[in-house]
Amino acid sequence: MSGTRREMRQRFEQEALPHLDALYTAAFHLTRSQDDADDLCQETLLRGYRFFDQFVPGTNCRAWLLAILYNAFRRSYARAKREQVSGTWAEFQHLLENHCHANEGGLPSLDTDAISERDVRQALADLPEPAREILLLIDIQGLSYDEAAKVLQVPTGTVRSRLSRSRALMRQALRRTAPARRIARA
Amino acid sequence: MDHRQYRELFLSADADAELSAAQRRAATEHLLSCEECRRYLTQERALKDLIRRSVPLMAAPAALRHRIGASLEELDEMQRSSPGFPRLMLRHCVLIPAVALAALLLIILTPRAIPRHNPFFDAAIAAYRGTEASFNSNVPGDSISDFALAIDEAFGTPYGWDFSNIGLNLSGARIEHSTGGKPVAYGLYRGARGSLLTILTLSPALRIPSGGEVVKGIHIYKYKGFSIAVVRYENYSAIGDGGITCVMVSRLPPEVLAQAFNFLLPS
Repeated sequence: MSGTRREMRQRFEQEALPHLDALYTAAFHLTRSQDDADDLCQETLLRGYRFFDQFVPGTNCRAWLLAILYNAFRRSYARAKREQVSGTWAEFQHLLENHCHANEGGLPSLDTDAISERDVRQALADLPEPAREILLLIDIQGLSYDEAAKVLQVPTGTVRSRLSRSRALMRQALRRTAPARRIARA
Repeated sequence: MDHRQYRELFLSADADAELSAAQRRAATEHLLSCEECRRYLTQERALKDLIRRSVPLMAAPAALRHRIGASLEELDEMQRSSPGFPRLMLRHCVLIPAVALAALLLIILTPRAIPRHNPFFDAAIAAYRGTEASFNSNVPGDSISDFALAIDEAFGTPYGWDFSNIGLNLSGARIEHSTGGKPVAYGLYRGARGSLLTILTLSPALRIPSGGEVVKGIHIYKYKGFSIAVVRYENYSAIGDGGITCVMVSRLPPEVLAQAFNFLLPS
């Protein structure tokens, strides 16, 4: 291996590979399949390695890798799923309209103590893909709005509005879950 | 600022500390006089915290770490053996220019034992590796019959592989044309066990390299850790000046490809 190549490999192992768990978490929740998550992570890291000279040192390497992962996900997996899963923006908007009509009096309150972590994971899995994407980036991966905007290739203002709507959908889903659990316990 | 404006435009960003200084001042001013919105902000923060706690980072499987490490090694090895070439291939999004493939077919597929370095096989492997980075389909539909119809249109005969018996399903298909108008079709198959790329070209009469295992007329070779299968159909196409050559590349063992071919083709 040449000196330059060896240095590149070392840098990649030091800066990129530590984010494998974060990538795997995102991949698993996006694809909802362990096998697909494995493939998506491998594809992401190989592509990241090939183009690692384009990564700007000092910037957020996890966000850079997530941008590659989200792109790969859209290319390789989303197209196949689009026909069978209700995950498009059109459906997302439809759900939002229903949500808005149902909550014109104000935001629903949420008793977070009554909700289990399993409920949250299930609600997240059931969300439309665009809502899941943004919540994974902001709430789980801890990216800033600007970093999430780069990953999703949308303006920061769009991240802000999508996130607000996605949390509203999440809140609505959890409100449906929590009363059901209380009834089941009773 | 009223309640609706705060809830719809500011609430989430406030909980995430993403408001600008001016927005922060306006939000604070509203919150001082609005108990209801203060309660919403508390709930928004609680929801954010609940989501974060409920979905912790998962540990990537050890097998995946090993697989990635091995792939990085292979990539380094590939770049050592042909510096610059793989990068060039990948920047051009997986696909080998059809004209280059045809030229390589002419030069390399000669009746002799597989050399240690076979440029055509190297090119096919580079194309396969490229599919791991990206694969842009341009064939409408996802089924094998959709792919076969597109090949019928480009090559003059329907042609498609079904690898479902070894757990691989068509994941993407692409047809390109060389500057001379000759088609090249790429089919990417994926499954839990791995993936396989088929490359179909129109080419003049060629002889396939000797060596390797032959299963139902398909030559299967082990080359640089990959399984490569080559099959030639003379006078098969309704158009073009020869037959069709199909090359398949995969990391699956040759025995698995042999299993697929045994199942697919008549004895």
